[in-house]
Amino acid sequence: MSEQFKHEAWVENRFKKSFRNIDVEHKNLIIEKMKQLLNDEIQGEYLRGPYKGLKKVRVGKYRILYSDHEPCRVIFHDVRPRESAYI
Amino acid sequence: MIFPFSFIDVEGSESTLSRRFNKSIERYIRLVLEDPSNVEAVAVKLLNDEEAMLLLASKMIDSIRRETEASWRSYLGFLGIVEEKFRDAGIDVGEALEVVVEHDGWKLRSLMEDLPKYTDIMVRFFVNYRDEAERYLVVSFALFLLLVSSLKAETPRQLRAIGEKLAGLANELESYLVTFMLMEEDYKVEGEFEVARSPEELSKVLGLE
Repeated sequence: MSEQFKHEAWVENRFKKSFRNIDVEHKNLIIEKMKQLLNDEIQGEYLRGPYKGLKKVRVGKYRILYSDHEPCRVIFHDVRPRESAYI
Repeated sequence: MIFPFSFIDVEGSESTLSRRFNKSIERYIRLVLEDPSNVEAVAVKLLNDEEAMLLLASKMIDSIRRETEASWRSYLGFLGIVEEKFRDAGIDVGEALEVVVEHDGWKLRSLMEDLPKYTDIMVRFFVNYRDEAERYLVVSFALFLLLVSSLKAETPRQLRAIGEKLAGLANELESYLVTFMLMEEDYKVEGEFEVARSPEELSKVLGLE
């Protein structure tokens, strides 16, 4: 039996959908970041105002939105590209 | 800081308004250079400086009137100079600057594409989350002061202290940026999940197996 994460990963459908369209290189980076979050190795930062329960963490050109306020559970809400710097 | 790039002139075309604004913030830059870790307190002082704020408001109106693309290019040029100065000192501020540019680019796009929506987001945020809104202003102005101060820093030690503060505040700015982006799209949590307890299960949930 493989090693278990410290916390359960609850992956929202929106996250899965966004993840499908990402290139392999970033997919691997994102999975590594998710594992770090699931094992309490890193922490993201809280958002503000109406979304203060959510956290964000950067992964290269992407950003993971997640929450961890429920015990033993990390909820992955979405992964989205960071906006292009040049308009 | 609505148009941060509007009051930064790097191509030698400094207007009278810019000169007056730059003059009015000189003493704040000096304070930041003396102690970069105190930049938030300096930003609060700047925010309470009526003359500087009036000049800034004038600059904002002026920048809306002027060609935005040229202002934006000028701003990116300014950030390029800042990054180079840090790089020459062996300090990496690339990620912090990326966040600053992403924030300002988002703000500019929002203002240009849908001003009423942008205004609505800001009003809702400032009315309902007063303390956080005030902090947002402090963070924005502190970042502006740090960026300008970095060009005037004379020692690697000064630059390192500015760089450290820049990284922390850019991270904080990013929290506001993502919040505003979610407010813009009226983001709501879906509530439909799949659960994974191990790397294998996670791969399966993500459709990799």
